[in-house]
Amino acid sequence: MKGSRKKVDRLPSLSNAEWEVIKPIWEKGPLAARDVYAALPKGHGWAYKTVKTLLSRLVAKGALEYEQIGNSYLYRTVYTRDRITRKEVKKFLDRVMDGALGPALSYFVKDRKLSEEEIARLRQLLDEKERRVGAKSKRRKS
Amino acid sequence: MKAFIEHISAGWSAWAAMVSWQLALLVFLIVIIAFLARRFSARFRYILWLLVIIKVFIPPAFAPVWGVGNWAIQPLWYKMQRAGLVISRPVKPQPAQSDYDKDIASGHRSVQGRVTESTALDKTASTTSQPSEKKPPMFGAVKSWNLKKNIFAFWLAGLVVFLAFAVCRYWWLVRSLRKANVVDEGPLRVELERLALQVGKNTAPDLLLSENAQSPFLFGLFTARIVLPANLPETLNQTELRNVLLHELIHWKRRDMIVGWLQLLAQAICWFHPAVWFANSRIRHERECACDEAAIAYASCEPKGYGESLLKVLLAGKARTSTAFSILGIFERNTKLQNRLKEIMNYKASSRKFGMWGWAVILLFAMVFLSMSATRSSTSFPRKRVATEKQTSLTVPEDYLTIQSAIMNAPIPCTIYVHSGTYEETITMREGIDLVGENPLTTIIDGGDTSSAYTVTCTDHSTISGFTITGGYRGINCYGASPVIKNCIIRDNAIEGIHMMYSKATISQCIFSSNRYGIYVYHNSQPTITNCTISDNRYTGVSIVDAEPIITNCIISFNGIYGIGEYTADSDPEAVTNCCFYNNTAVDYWDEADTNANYYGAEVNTIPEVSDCIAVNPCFMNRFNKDYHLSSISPCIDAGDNSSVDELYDFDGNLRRADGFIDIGAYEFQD
Repeated sequence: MKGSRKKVDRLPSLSNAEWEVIKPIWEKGPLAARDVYAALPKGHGWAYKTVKTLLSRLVAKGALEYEQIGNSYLYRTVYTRDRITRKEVKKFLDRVMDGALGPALSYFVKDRKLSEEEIARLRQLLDEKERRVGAKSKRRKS
Repeated sequence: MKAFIEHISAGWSAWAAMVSWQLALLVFLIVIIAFLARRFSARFRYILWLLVIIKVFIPPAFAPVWGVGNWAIQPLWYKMQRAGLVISRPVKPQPAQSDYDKDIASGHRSVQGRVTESTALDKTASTTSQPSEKKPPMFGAVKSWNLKKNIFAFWLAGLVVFLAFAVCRYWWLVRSLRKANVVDEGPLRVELERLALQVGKNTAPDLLLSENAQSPFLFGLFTARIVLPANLPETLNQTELRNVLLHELIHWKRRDMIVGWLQLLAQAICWFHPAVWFANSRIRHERECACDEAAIAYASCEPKGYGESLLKVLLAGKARTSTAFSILGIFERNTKLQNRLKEIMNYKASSRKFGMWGWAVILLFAMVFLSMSATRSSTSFPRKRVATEKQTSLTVPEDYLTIQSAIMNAPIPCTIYVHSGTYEETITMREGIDLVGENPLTTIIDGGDTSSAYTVTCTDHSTISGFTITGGYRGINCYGASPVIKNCIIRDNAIEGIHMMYSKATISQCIFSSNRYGIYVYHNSQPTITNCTISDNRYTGVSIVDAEPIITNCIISFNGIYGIGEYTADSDPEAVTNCCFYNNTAVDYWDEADTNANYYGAEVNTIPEVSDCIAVNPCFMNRFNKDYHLSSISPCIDAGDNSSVDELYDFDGNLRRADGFIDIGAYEFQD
């Protein structure tokens, strides 16, 4: 292929602390720093200043953007939770499972308790995947 | 308490003298190398200058084999002494006659006639009891001690003042920043976080805006903080602000704060040394240049733009800096701005790399030039037996469990190395055997039988060195044997330390104490006794019966009856020269054949065979703990006769004649 380029992954990689801080914004929409602080789980042990620093870091990484309102700043996410989650999962799979999904899935299925809804959803996803893979291989043959 | 202060003062004087010349020499070398490396990375020069700070904290006596002290400085110094290029230490004036000597001479001190062995046996002479007479004052020695004490006190005062000043400035700075605004969100904070990520850090220090700050700086004892003047974000544009933040971040990333504190500490310790002040000034300058280099590289900006940022910051701060000790500012004290701007404008990425080769050069330089003292001894005690075709050495207990079994099974010739430990056995040497103990303090041969045995029986053509020989009836027997015995402690033997008959043994750098007789020289013996300390023996230091020893550079002191006792008319030493006699309880020198018989103190020099001897307190470091090292005020220092001594190293393995003159006794005073 002419002029092929390696895809640049612009999605930021988040630390555990940054995950905790960005979750309330995903869940509740644009928030100021004090609202994020209030929304954090009890017992997190962080100072208000630390939360503000983490938010600034998320902005620096490109995971958040902010808008100044008076003396405060309102933070909103740049990427959806789903996108960043998928990136983290992929990173995890590449690191732990050498990119193989099957063994990871079997670990989860064996070790985690799944509700009936989750099992049904998994089954639905697998059926959909099977249909797509089948359709692709038919197109190749033709 | 007085002894403790004296000890500390003497130790500090020795340290200050050594560290002063070593630091001066190191700074001189680094000036040359830094000049030659002026086109290279500033970081290289910065780390090179840091070696001066490291040097302050390394003991000056540290002397690994590869250090320049061993292979260059010491041999050169020695050659210069021999050639007379070095001004030698002036000979110490003989102290005034002591009260002890005066009492003896005037007859005020009563001596109960001639003290014989039988009368002595009635008395139970104790060698450890404190003599009740007052120690005689020594004019020159007291003056010298006072000077060292005063200099030490002056240095201590300087150290306290310096640290107090630094603490005050730091406290003032912290106080002035109490009203500073913490920037924990907003565009400035975001920019700082972005730059931190760019330099490879996941966190960033706190950021403060202060009305009292004249220029940007980084400070903090445990938590680093970047402080900007409050008006700076409005004065500078975004690029210029980024350059400033990047500069401070690089300081933070490189932990220059810790280096700053170490500089402060080194400066406090060596406040008296101009070379350290100069080195610190160079460190500050090169550190800033190194940060500028890194900032230009990270920012990927034009050097001109970066230089303009600096000038704008300077103008905004009205050309003043708010830095103090250990605080890192974009404008440090004494940094030459013009040189710095020149470095910036001449920046070329290719010539400013500092990688593996730079580290290798600095490491090599540090290994060789940070240690400028000479090593202790030329001999190294083997840990493993050297395997050769023809085995010429054995090790105890690796090869044989006991010394005697090693001696009996050794090939001839052979050197037997004995590791530290207590060997409870009696030993009979063989000709051609050299017996070497690992350390005379810890390699002990204990005869274990105070009723009849000789702990060691010697032969001709053998050497014994590095042992404590104790616990026997007689320590060493040299009957018809002329061994070499050196660097040994011969103590606590029931009768004699060494018993000699028909012997021409060579005894050097040995310590005889707590025996009944230190050395007993019998019939037709002509031993050479050199640089020994013969002290605290219960009866006589050196007993001579029909023999002619040569005694040189020995301390004969605090013995229970006589220092030297000639028991018969034919007992005349060949020579007794450059010895120190002191406080031998009855008589310093007793000559049975002489009508005068008893010689006290300096009178010994009137004996025909005796010359150049002194009669003053040898001033041991701690005689009651059997520490016979000379203190700094000892008159035995430099009072020996150089011509009689071939040994290069003393009992401890330190150089003899370190300053051109040999000391009396087993130890050479280390200054």
